[in-house]
Amino acid sequence: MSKFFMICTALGCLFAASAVEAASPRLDHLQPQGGQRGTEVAVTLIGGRIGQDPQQILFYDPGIELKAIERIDDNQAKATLAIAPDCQPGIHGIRVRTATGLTNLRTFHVGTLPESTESEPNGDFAAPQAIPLGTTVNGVITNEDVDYFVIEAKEGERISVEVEGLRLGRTFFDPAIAILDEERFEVAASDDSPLMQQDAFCSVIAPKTGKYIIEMRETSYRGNDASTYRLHIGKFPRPGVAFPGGGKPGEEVELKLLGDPLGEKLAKVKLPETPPLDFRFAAEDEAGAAATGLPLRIIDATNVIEVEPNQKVDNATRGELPAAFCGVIEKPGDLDRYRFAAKKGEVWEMNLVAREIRSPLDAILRVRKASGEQLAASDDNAGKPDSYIRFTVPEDGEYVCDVVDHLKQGGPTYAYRLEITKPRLAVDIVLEERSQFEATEVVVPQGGQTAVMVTANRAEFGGELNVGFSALPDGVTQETVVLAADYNRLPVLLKATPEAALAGQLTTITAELTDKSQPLLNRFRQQTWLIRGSNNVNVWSHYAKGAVAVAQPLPFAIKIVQPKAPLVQSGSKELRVVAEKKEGFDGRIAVRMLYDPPGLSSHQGIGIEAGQTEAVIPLTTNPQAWARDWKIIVVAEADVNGTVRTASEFATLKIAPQYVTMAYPTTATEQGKGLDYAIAVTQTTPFSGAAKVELVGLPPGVTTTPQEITKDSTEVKFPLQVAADARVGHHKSLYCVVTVVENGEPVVHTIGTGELRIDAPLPPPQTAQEGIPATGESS
Amino acid sequence: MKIFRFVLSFGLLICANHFALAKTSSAPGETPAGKPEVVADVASLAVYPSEIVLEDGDDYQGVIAVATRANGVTLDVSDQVEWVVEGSARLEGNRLLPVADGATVLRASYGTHQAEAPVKVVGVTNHPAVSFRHDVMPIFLRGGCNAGGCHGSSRGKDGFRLSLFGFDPAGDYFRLTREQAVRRVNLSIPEESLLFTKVTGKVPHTGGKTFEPDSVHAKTLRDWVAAGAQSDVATAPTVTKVELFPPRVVMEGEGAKQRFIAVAHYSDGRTRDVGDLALFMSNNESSAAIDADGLATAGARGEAFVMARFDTHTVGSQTLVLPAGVEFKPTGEAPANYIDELVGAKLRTMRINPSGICTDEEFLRRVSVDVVGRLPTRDEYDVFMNDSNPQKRAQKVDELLERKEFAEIWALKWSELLMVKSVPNRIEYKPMFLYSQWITRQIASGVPLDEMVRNLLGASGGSFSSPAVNFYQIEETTQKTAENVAQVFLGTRLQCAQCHNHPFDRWTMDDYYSFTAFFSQIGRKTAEDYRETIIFDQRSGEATHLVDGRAMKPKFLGDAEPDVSKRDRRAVLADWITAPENPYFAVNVANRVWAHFMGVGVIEPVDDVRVSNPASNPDLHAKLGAKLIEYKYDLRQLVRDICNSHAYQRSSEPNETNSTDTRNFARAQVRRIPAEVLLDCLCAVTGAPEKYPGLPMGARAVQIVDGGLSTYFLTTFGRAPRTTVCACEPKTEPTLSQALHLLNGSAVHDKINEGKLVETMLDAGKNPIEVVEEIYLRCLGRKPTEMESQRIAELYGTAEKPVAELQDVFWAVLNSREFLFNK
Repeated sequence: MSKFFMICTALGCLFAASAVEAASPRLDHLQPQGGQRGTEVAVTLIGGRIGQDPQQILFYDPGIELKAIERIDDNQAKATLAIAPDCQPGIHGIRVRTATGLTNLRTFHVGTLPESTESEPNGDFAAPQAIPLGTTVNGVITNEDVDYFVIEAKEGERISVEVEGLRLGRTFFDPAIAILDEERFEVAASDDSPLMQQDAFCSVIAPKTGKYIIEMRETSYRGNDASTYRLHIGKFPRPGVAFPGGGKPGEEVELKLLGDPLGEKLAKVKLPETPPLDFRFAAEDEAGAAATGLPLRIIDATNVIEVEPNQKVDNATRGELPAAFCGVIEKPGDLDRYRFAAKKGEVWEMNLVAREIRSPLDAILRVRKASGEQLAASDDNAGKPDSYIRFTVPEDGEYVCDVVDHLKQGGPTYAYRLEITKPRLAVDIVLEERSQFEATEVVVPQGGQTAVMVTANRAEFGGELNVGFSALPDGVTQETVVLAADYNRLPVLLKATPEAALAGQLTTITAELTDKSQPLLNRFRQQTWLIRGSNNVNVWSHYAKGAVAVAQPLPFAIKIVQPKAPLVQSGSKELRVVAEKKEGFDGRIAVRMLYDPPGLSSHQGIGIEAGQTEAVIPLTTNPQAWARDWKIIVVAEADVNGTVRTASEFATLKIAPQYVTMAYPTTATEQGKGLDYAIAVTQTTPFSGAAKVELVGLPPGVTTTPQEITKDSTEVKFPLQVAADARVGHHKSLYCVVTVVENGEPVVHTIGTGELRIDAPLPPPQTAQEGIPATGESS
Repeated sequence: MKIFRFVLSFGLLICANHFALAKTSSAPGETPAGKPEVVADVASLAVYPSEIVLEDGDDYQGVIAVATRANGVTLDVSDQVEWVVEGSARLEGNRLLPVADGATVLRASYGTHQAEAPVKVVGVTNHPAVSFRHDVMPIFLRGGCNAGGCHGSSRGKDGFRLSLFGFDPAGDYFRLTREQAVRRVNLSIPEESLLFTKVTGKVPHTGGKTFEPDSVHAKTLRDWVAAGAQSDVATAPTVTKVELFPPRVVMEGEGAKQRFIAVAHYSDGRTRDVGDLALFMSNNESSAAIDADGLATAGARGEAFVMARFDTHTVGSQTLVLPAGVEFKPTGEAPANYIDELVGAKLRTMRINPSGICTDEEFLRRVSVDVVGRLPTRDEYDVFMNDSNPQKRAQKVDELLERKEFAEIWALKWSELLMVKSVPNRIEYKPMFLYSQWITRQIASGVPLDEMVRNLLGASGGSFSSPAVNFYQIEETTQKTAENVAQVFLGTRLQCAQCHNHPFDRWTMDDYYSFTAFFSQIGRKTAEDYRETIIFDQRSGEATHLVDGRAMKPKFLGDAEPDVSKRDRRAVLADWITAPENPYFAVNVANRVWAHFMGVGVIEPVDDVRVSNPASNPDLHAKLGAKLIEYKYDLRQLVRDICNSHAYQRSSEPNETNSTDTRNFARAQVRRIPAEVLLDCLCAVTGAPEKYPGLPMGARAVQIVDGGLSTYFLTTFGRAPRTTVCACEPKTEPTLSQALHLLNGSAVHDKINEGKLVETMLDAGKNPIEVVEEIYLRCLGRKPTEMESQRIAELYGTAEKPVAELQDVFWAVLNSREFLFNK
C-alpha cells in the first residue's frame, strides 16, 4: 500500500468523523425532570452524544414548546422549554433529535406549583427544611436518607402531598411519605397507592393550625443517587378516582371526584373525539390543581350508573347492551348487580375496568342467568387485577352480572366500570424491538434507508392486510409487502431522498384489510421500558406513538445480491451482501437478516470486515420452512462515532420444496468388506444438468466418493470402502447433500437419513487344546 | 426336655406376669419368712386401678398397691398388702379375674392403712374372638415388628412391609392376608402361616425369634389365623385413652422397684389391661429403667418419665429417684412470688436447695442483657448501686420493660420464629421490611400476644398493605405451614405424622391432615407490584390423607371438628389457638419467655412439647400459662414476674445439693450472650458502631430486618439463619472459630482501635486505675477485684499514659468468658 493512499485514508477518516458527528444519541435523564406550567424552564439533557448537534425535541403531548436547545458538551445539552399555562400536568414523553439520530424516550413532568429544590441537611425531624405550602420540591433520596420539610397550614385547610418517584422512570425507587404534626404524630401516611402504584399521596384536612412536617423516604430506607423525586406539597385537590371513569368519544361527562377529604366534588370534562393513548383529567379547584391526572376511559358505550340497592337479582340495575355499567363498591362486603337482556348466540366482551382507572377495587366479575345459575366468573385477567369475560349468550333471556371485591373490601373510592361491548375487529400493532427491552428508534439517513419489523395481530377477523406508517417526514417514503392472511410479521423499508430535510415526526402504524371490506380498530403503541424489576419484570413503562427521524447520510450502503435460485426446505444457501463504502470509511459493517421467515435460520454474527466490501450470510432451513417467495432485507450496523444503521433494498428469496426425495436402505457389512450403498431417488422438481450427491455421516474407517444424478436418475450408488478397523456399530445418521445448480447458483439439499451397520467379523472357529486358550491368542 | 419346658414356662411367667410369682420371691420390704414388714412412716395407701370393670370371661386386670410415706417417697407394696376380694372376682397373683356377673370390692390392707377399689363384672359367659385391630396390631408394635428398622421401613424388610408403628391397619391387613396368598396366613394350618413361623423362629427370620411359640402373643396370632384371619379394622372401637398407674412415683435408693400397669379405654366404654401389649419406655434409663412388662428399677438420683405406648397413645408418669439416706434440710427462704413457691416445692421434693441470691452487680448486668439486650452504662451502674431502696431490683425491671429495646429483643425473637428473611427471586426485601416493622410495632405497642397471633394467622390481603400475611408468603406449602403453626404457637412437632403416626406422641396421620386442612384454602396471587403477594381465602381446596386420599375435615389438634362453613378456616383456627381453654398456646408462649430468662425451659426444647417430653415442673408450667392468660397475654407482666422471682435472681454458684441439677432452676444458668446482643454489646463498650446494610450507622444488630443479611461475626456466633421455625436456630454453643475470631480476628482488636476509648479517657485526665475500673464496669458490670487491680497495675507500672497496656487489658477483658456470658 502506498504511503499516499494511507494518508488519504487517514484524512478520509477525519473527514468522515466530522461529517458524521455522533450517531445514536441517548437521553439518560433530565435535570430538573419537570417544571411548573406557565413558566419557562431550562433543562439539562444528559446522555451519551446528546450534546452533539441537538436540533429538536419531539413532544408527544401538547403544551410544551422548545424555545432553544444548545450544546453544553458532547454528552449534555441545555434546552429551554416553555410550558403553556393550560398544559396538562403530569407525564410528557419526549425524545431529542440530533443531526445524526433520535434518542430514546424519557419523561418530563409538568407540575402546577412553583418549583424548589431540597437542600441537605434536612434529615432531622427537628430541623426540617421550611417550604411554603404550595411547592414542588425536586430532591433525591440516597441510601438510608430521609428528607423532612416543614409547612404551615391552617385548621380546616387541605394539605395534599403527592410524590413522583418511580413515575419519573429513572430507577426502581419506591417512595413513602407521611404528614406528621409537631409532636411527631402521624396525620397521614402513604407508601403505595392504586392511583400511583409505588408512588404515594396523602390528602388530609389540617386538624389544627400549625406546623406540619412532611417526611419523604424510601419505603425500606434504600435509595441511591438516581432516586430522584418531585414532591408536590400544597392545598390542591388530590382525589383518588373519577367516577364514572369515562364516557363516549366527544361526550361531556360529569365526574364525581372521589377521595377528596373536603368531600365529593363534581367536575365536567369533554372527552376527545379521537381517544389518545392515555387520557387523563387533572382535578382543579380554587385551592389549586393536582399535579397529575386521573385516567379516563373513552369507549363507545353509554354509561349506566348503578342504582343502590342492587344486591339482588331482582333489584339489579338494568341497562341495555352495549353499556358501561358504572358503580362503586362502597363498603366492605358490598355486591353490585346489573341486569340486561341478550339474545342466543350473541358474543359480548365484558371488561371490568377498575384498576385501569386506578380504583383500589380488585374485582371479581360473575355472569349468571336471571335464575341465579352462574355461567362464568373472572378474577384477574392477563396478569392484571381487572376482570374479563367473553360471554357467548346461551339462550334468549335476561342475564345478571355480579361485581364484588376479591377480598370483600370496599370504600368510597372503589369505583369501577363494567363495559359490555361487542367484540371489535382490531389489529394490535407492535413496532418490534431491535434488541430486547429497547424501544426501536426509527432513523432514516438522508439518501439512504432503514428497515423495521412490525407485528400485526388480528383480533376477531382474518385476511390480508396493508400495514404501514401513517405519517413520515418530508422526503421519506416507505415500501412494504402485503401481510399474508396466515402470517403476522412484515418488514417496512423507509427511504429518504438525499434532499430530505433533517427532521423528526411522530407517527403511528396502521393496518387495513387489502379489500377494505371492513373497518379495523388499530391499536398501536410503542412501549418504552423505563424500570424493570428482577427477572426483567415490567415495573414502569411509558406507552406512546412512534417517531421517525431523518438524519445525516451514512458513509456506506449495502445491498443484497438478488438470489437467482431458490432455497429449498432442509437446505442451505449463502446470501451475498455487498457494501458500498464511501471514501474515508472502512469500518466493519455488521450485517444480518432483518427477519427470518418461519423455518429459516440465518447467521447473526456476519460482518463485512475492514478492507472488504462483501460478505455472505449463511441461511439454513428446516423441513417445515414456509415455501413461498419472501421479501427479505438485510440490515447493517456500523460504528461511526456511535452505532448507525441502514438496510438493503428488498430482495426476493424463494423457499421451495426439495427437488428430489431419497429412500435409504438399511445395510450391514463387516469390517474390511466394502459394499455398494444404493439409494433410491425420486424427482419432484425437474432440474437441468447433473447434480452432485455427497454421502455424509459415514463412520470412521468408511469412505466413498461423491456421485452425480440427473433428472432421469432413479438411484444413486455409493461404493463404500470399509477399512478393517472401521467403527463397529449402528450408524444411523447417514444423509446426502445434493447440490443442484440452477442459474449458476447451487441449490443445496440435505436429505436423510440412512443407516449402516458395521459388524466385527466372526472369530475363526477354534478347538480348545490343553494348555492353549480357546481364543488362540496365546501363540 | 420336660425340665427345659418347665424352666421356659417359668421364665415366661415371670416375663408375662410378675404378680403371679411375686409372693414367692423376695421383694424389698419383705422379710425372708414371707411376713410383710410394714414401713412405719407410711401416710397413705392407694390401690390401682381405682375402679375395675371386667367385661368378659377372658378379661383380667392387674392390680398394684402403692404406699406413700410422709416424706413423699412411694413404695410398691403390692406384695406386702393383704388383698381381699369376694364374690364376683378372684385374685390370682396380682391379677384380678372374673368369677360371675355382679359387683364387689377389692380391698388392700397395709398395717393400719386400707385402700379399696370397686369391681364390676359383666358378661362372664362371653369369650370374644381375637381382634385384628386390638389384639394382633398391638403385637407388631410390642414386638418391634413395625419399627422403622424392621418391617415398618418404607420399603419393608425382606419383602414384607408393615405400616410404621401401625398407622395403616387396613394396609397391614391387606399385606398380611392378600399380598401373598396363603403364605403369610394359612387358614387351614395356622401354625404354618409365615406370620407364626417367622415370629416364633421356626423358619429363618432376620429379626430372630420375637416370641416363644407358646407365648401369649404367639398364641394370639395363631388363634387369629385359626378363626379365619378376620379384619375388624372398619368396625373395631377406637382407643380413646390409656392410663398408666401409678401416676407419680418417688423412689428412694438405687434398686427400688415399682410395677406399672396400663389400662386402655375404648370408644365403646370398655376398659382393658394392656400390660401385655403396651410398650413401656423411660426417657431416662439411668434414673429409672423399665422392662418390657412395666417393672421400673431406680438408678441414679434424678428424674425420669416412665411411659407406656399403646395404639396411638403414649402416656407417662413422673418418676423421681432420690438417694437413700441423705439428710436434707430445706433452706427457709420466703418465696418472692408464685414462681418461687412452685420452684421451691419441686426442689424440696428433689431434696435440692437453691443457691443464694446474686449480687446487685450480677443482677444489673443479667437483667439488662436479658430484658433490653444491652449492658448497663456507667451511669446506670452508679445509680443502681447507690440506690438503697429495697425495691430497686423491681424498679429496675419496670424501667427496662418500658424501653424500646425490650420490644426489639422480642421482635427479633419473633422474627426468628417467623423466618423473616428475603429469598432471591421469591421473597423480596420490602415485604420483609414491612413484616418486621409490623412485628416490632405489635410488641412495642403492647398488642396482646393472642391478638397478634390472631392477626397473623387470620391475615388476608397484600403483603405490603397487610404485612401479617407474609406469614403465608414465607412458607407456601400447606403442610409445612401447618407444621410451623403447630411448632411456633403450640410447641408441638407434627412433622412425623405426615407419613406415619407419631412414635412418641399422640398425633396420628388423621390428626396431621385434619390440621393441615385449616390451611388448604389459602389463595395466593401476585399483586400489581410483582414484589407483593395477595393472600386470600379461596374457599376451596382440601387436605387429602396420604394413605387413602380422603379429604380431611379441619379438626383442632386433639380437639373438636369445628364448623368452618361460613368462615376463613385460618381465622377459626386462630380463635381456637388463642382461646384461654387451649391447652397449648399460653403455656408454650410462657415457657418460651421463661426459657429466655432462665436459659432452659420448663419444657425443653420449648417447641417440642410431647407426652414423652414432659415439663420438669408441671405445676410451674401450667401456672406460667395461666398467669399469661390472667394478664391478658401481656408479655411485660409475665417478664416482670419472672425477673422479680428469686429463681431468676439466684447466683450461678452451685451448692452441694444442686450442682448436678440443670432443670429445676435451683441456680442461675450461665448463658452465652446471643450473637446479635453480643455484637451490640461489643460495639457499645468499645464505642465503635457497626454498619449494617439497609440500616443507618449506629443501628444495632438486633434491628437487622432481614434474616438473609448477616456479618461474619453474627454468623460465627450463631445468628439464626431463619430457615426453619425451630427455637434451636440461634446457637449459643461455643466454637473454635468464635474463640479465634475474638482472639485474632478484627472484631475486638479493631473495635478497640476504632473506638479510641482508652486514649479518650487518658486524655480526659483519668489515671490508669480509673481507666481499668471504667473498662471493667463497661464490660463486666463490676469493678476489678483487688487482685485484678494489682496484677494489672504491674503491667503498666508507673507509666502515665500506658495506652498499649490498657488496650491490652481492654482486649483481655473482652476476651474473657465473663464478658461473653451472662451469669
